Amino acid sequence: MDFLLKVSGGLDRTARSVGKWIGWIMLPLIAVIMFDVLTRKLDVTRLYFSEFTAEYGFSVSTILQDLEWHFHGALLMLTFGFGYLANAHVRVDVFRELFRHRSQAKLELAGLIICAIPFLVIMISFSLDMVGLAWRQGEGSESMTGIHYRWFIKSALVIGFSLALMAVIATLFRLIGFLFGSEEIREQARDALEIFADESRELEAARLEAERALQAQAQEGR
Amino acid sequence: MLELWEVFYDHMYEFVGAYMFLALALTLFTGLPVAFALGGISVIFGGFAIYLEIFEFNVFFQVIQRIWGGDGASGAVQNPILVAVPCFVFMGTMLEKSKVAEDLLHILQVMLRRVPGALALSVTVMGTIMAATTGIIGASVVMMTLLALPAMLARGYHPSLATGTIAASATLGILIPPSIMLVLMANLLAVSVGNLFIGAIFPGLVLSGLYFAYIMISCTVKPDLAPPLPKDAIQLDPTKVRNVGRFFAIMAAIVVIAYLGSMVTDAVNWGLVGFLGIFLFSMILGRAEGNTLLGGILKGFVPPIFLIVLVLGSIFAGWATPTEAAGVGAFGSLVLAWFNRTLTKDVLEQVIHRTALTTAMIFFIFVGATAFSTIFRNVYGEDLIIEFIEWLELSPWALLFVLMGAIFLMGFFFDFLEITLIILPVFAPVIRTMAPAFAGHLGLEEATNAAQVQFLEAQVIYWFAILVATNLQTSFLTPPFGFALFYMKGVAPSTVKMQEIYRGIIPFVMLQLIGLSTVLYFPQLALWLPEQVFGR
Repeated sequence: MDFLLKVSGGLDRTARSVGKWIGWIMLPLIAVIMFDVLTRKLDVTRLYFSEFTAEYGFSVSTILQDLEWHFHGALLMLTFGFGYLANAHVRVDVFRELFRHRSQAKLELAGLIICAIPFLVIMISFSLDMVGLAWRQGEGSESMTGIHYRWFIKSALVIGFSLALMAVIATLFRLIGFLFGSEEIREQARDALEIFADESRELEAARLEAERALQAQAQEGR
Repeated sequence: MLELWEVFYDHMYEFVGAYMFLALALTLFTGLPVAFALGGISVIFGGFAIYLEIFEFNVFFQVIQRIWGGDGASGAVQNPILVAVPCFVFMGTMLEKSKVAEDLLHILQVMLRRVPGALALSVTVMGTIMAATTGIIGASVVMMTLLALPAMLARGYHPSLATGTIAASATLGILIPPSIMLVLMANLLAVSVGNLFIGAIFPGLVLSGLYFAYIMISCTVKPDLAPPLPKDAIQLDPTKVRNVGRFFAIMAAIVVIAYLGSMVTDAVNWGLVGFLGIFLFSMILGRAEGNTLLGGILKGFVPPIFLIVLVLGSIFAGWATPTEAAGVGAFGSLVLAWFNRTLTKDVLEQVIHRTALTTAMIFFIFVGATAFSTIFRNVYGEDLIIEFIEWLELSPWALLFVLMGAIFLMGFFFDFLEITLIILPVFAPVIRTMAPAFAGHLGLEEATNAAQVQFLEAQVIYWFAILVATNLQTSFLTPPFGFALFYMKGVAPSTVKMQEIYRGIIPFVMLQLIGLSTVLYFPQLALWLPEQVFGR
């Protein structure tokens, strides 16, 4: 059991740190869009860059536009695991909230085994096929003047689904620890899990903050 | 025995799509992440259909290809349109965390302090402006409540009026552009994002105008709802007016560069000149006025508005695609935060993480929904739905009302993400087949050739999308299940009772229904402006 929790700790750290790290890709994404918009509006740079297309067969603007969705794709695929661990994914909590944590954990465990794992495994295997196909065919940009090496960004699908699977397995081990482990294991697993419907607890914290603000304002008013 | 098997087989072969939907509904209510429920159900029923020999195992390759996108398909990854989504999320989160939103509310309160119901009105105006930026219902209700409710209660506002105003204004975000929901909808329905944005402007303004009028009238008639503020109640707080003069300088420099660049070939672009003029004018005045009210307005009110106008205006003028406009908006929010002196490493990190999580949330559902709809289509689920609708023998109008009613009911349980991503792809073919029946209502002629048919379908879809957005907004506000009310109750101080929230929201639901029926009866409200901007 202890071993399971250690493994899940490692998986958790990997998925989480990749998700946090890839978030910073927003800044280059914004920079690329700004650069592309401005240089295309400026005749000087536009004409200068169009010479590249004539001479070397690539277009700066097309590359930048390809780069935009490359960044976007990497961002969205590589954050799935992080999102699951931080419980950011949407759930329909209407009925779940009524259950005790133990029942919530059982439901989640069943859901992960029946739904999440088969889905992610199939997605990983078929996205591997897709990367392989892109690699063998030497697939590149549709526009001929954009970014080649399509397999590179397509492998983000494989990595992304794998990270999500890692996050799922980490949660699965913790759920097993929480449901079937000894007292100590249970506590540890409970602290590491973020999946429970604790919306009310989060909102409660926000509410207390609002009440404090209210009191402060009332005092100010006096 | 064999006969029984054959009956079972035939039944399943025909109705597997229906069972798939049923199973999805059940799985969703267990509270499993929606994306996993969608993916799991599509794998299970995909497996079952393979067993029934409806298709082969490699159908899942089609799933992964549709998740990928490309070739003008509406996938998640290779899709230049959807790059706008993380950018808008970034922009909204940045404006919130860098306290630009908070300062805006403060300035609005100062500006409107003489008007009856000042605090409520400022929330409505802020909802209209910031609508743009949040987009996710739960998050925007929580943010607006924390910012605005304590002040309103402290000034003796009736809790019903206060909570009703906040809930209604916070949900404006899904309709008023730039809204994430409209980006997703346009992508799924294969229509132009810019066109849909512009179409949503008038309906959105009509709604916020109705709120504004209602608050002003009811506060004038019943002053005890919102006691007028004492003369010196709200002073301009100089610490909230940060120096953003340099923000204008940078943005002005960008516009100048862009303008000079376009001057080489283009004719003089008067729109840009005017924009620039207003800009420089407010920059210089803002400097000179310092901590007076005018200075506050120029520093706290004009920049966020400017940012939104810049984003929408550049789409409007055909100057940038929605994606580029979103990128420019995200950049603008960074600059704004920088000159607001709130762009610390800590804030940036928070914004980046929040953006990553929200993007993951939106697109994981997108991936799950793509898997679901691909399998659903392959088991002939769409045909099943169309057959079912034909069997109902409803007139197109009755059908429209049925669809609207169904979406309204779903709004009680699901956020707009699930509804847009799961239900719209299923309803879209139905709407397309209905298109000719609404030609007269939209003031269009009967379509005769292919191009006209396409145009007609697009018009009907713009109208429908706006109807759905308004409808969902109403649904999120309607007791007892309203999504927004649930979050509202969570963060409101415990002195506010659920009954008061319910009572407060009723007038706004009525106004929503008025807005909805206005768009229903006068489709020109949604269609006129895009026509003027883009021509036919």
